[in-house]
Amino acid sequence: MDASLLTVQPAAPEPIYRQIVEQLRRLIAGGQLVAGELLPSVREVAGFHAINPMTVSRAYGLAESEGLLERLRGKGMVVASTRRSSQSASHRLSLLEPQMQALVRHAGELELPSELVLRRLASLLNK
Amino acid sequence: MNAYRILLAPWIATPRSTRWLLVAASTLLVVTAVLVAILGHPAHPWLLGAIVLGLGNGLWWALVMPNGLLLVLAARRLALPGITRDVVLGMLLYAILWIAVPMLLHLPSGHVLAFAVVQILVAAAAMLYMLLPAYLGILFCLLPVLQRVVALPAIEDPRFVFRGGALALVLLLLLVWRWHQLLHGEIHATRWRTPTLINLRRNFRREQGDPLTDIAALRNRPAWLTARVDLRGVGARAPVKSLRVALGGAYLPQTMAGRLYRLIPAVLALLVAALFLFVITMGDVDPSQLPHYLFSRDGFPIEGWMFAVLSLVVPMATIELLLLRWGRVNAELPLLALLPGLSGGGDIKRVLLRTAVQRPAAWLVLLLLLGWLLAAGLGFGWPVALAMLAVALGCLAYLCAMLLGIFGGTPLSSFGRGLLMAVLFVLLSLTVVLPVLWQDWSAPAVARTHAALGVSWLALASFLLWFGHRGWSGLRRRPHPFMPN
Amino acid sequence: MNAVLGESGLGAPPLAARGLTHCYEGSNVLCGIDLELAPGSVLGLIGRNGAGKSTLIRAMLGLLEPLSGAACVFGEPALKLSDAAKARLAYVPQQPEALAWLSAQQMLDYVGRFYARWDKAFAKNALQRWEIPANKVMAKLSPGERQRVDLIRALASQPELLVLDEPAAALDPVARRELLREIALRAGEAGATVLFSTHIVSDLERVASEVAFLHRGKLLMRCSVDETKERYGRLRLPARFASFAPAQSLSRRRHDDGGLSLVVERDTQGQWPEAASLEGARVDALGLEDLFVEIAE
Repeated sequence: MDASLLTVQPAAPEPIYRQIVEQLRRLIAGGQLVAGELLPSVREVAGFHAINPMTVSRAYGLAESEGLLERLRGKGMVVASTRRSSQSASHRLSLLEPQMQALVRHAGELELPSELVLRRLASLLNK
Repeated sequence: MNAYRILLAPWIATPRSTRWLLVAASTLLVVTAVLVAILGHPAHPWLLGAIVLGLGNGLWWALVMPNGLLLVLAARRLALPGITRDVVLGMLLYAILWIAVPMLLHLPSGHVLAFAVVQILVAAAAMLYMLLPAYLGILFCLLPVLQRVVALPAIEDPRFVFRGGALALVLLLLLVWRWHQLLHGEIHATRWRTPTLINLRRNFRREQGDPLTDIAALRNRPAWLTARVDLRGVGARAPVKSLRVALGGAYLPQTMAGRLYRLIPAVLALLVAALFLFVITMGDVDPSQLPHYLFSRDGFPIEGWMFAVLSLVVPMATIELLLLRWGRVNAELPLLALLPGLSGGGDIKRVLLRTAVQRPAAWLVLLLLLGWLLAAGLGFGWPVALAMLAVALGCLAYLCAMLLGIFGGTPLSSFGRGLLMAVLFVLLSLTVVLPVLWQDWSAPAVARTHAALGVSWLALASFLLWFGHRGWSGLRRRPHPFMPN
Repeated sequence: MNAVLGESGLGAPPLAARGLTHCYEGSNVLCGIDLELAPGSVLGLIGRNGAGKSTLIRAMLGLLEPLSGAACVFGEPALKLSDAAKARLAYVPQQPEALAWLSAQQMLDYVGRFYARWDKAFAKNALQRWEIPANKVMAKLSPGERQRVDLIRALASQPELLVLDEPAAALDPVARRELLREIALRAGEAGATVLFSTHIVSDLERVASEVAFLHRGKLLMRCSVDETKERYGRLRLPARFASFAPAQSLSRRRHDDGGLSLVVERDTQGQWPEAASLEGARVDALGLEDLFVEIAE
């Protein structure tokens, strides 16, 4: 993987380390990062994006604790080979919580009836 | 069309500090001219009045009116309307005031036209001098030669009006042409090609302590003239040399080649001055007689006075340089304060003092030796030698006291500095010149001047001592000397 | 003084200030500032023009004598630093003008003789990479080039403490990015501590680990950059609930329609104040720039 695969938006309301973790999650879920693939070192990412290395190592640490990455001695961080099935569903559901809250809030602002929203959500999930 | 604004334009354009001075000087001269014309010399009342008024005219048209050009240039750059018209109208108005009105007053004397021609000549020449590039302005030193070249008859001569008038017309045309050229061209940055007016403004700004001008001077210096630094051996083991590099200016250690290159302008200036002198005197003075005149007892007062002046210039230049360095916060001071090992293990304050005093002291000693040589060669005895020693020591004391003030955080204000320098100038000049003149005076007069000189020196010495002590205690109190004032 | 601020030696913070107060021409420039940097951190100092950032930095490095208070560098009093401490420290002032009569090459040569750990190759490469004419007298260089030369001088001495006063002011965006990269890498591997003051908030958000707000000579706030995004937010209350606004807020602004905007922080449990759950109330995340503008107005 190359450090340029990540994008960093310093001015966004989300802290940079969270942005990195989010992107790693999406890349892994989307298949662009395969299991066992070596991630760039903290120094490479920090140097490429001109961000504090502590931020990068915090992001890597958080991703490791969430099971996205694992540390290989001598090589660095690699994408976790063990799938997330080892984590409980409720834990994984809690990761989705912010997006669900945002969806509910948007729906309220648009004054949409909940049955309409749920029907569409169901059809999307079943695809 | 605001008459008030038109009248005010030159006033606004002159730098604030000289406004009052110029107006006062001009008024004084005008009043004197009027008085002279009324009460003066019975034979040529109007001539004397014309000369005095001419002085005022020259002053006004050299130092006040050309600033209008700067005003117009600024207005064009900022696209301000109406200023050009006001300035030009102002010039016409002041021309009328300065030339036409006195002309009318001189009607009864019968030499009106000659008078007017003289005033116009003076005014045009003064303003032209300010607007011409500096290298042409220097040629004005050759004005005495004009007499032979242009064959201007004497003022009373009726032909004067025509010849002089023609010359005045030529000057006016030149003036208009130069004005247009400056308005539509660019003002060069190098010293010699800029109009004298701008040079004067720049030098003036430097005296006000504007630190940008010395960087601007560095920036505009041509490459062959820039200092070639000698960095050999610089480091923690050579604290004095390292400090000299950081102080810059005259302290900078330069390679031999660099020094020789820097001498070239001085040599050129001397040659040009010699050439001018030759042209001006043009055969009146026999060049082979020159050494005889220079090295005679009669010529000694002038040379002694030059010795005093040069001895004073040494500490003056040093102090100005150090004031510049200690005046800026983002320049050498933080670098020097945080450079490890600069003191070479010793006390940085002592090293700094030593470095700052060494070179100027060496120059003072050199000047003193040259002076003694000259005095001995001309047969002057120990009074003159003692006087020269006093001058050298006085300059050294002045330097040390001011240095302690700068490094200790208690520098003298610019007004105080100017005052002290004026006092020193007078005292030192008198100290050198008087012993020579004493030879011809009566004993009581000599005794009186002795006493006066002694008292003045005592006063100066005590002031310098007090001031130096104040600086020294300030320096002792400071944790390190590299703090801005 | 030493005992109060930390013993010299390995345990001392690289830069510390206690109760710094300074006056200039009658006005208070610094009012009792306490600041301490942790080793390896990157602290961004942000404040309005004239808030006293440059003065604070100079006072902390012993370049001026404050009216009261003390500063320490590596545990030593800032006004009397030893050569060993000076060798571990590098400072780049705002708009550097030092040694304008030397060329860049000569200046780096001169300064390099005083530092034991001077990286000559880095200096040479940096001059080449940034295309700075090495043999031109520095007075003839543009302000951006002067800034970069002074930065090279600071970085080539491989300092443990790097203090920069508005380093990016004269730099174009590419140069700024490179500077931030250098800072980021040095803070990371060499464990250098960096203090820099800036107006450009996005630079801070990138590379700083902590931010300190200086406003009218007082330190308003000091926290980590991530915290500012997670801990603070802007609470918008409609007019009818204006009276329910929490008493404690970092700033308070009344709108024309009677509503209130407040900058609030989460409490120890991580919850927003109760007023946030009222109908029509909203909590928005605040970027660093918005936070600063709200507080410093």
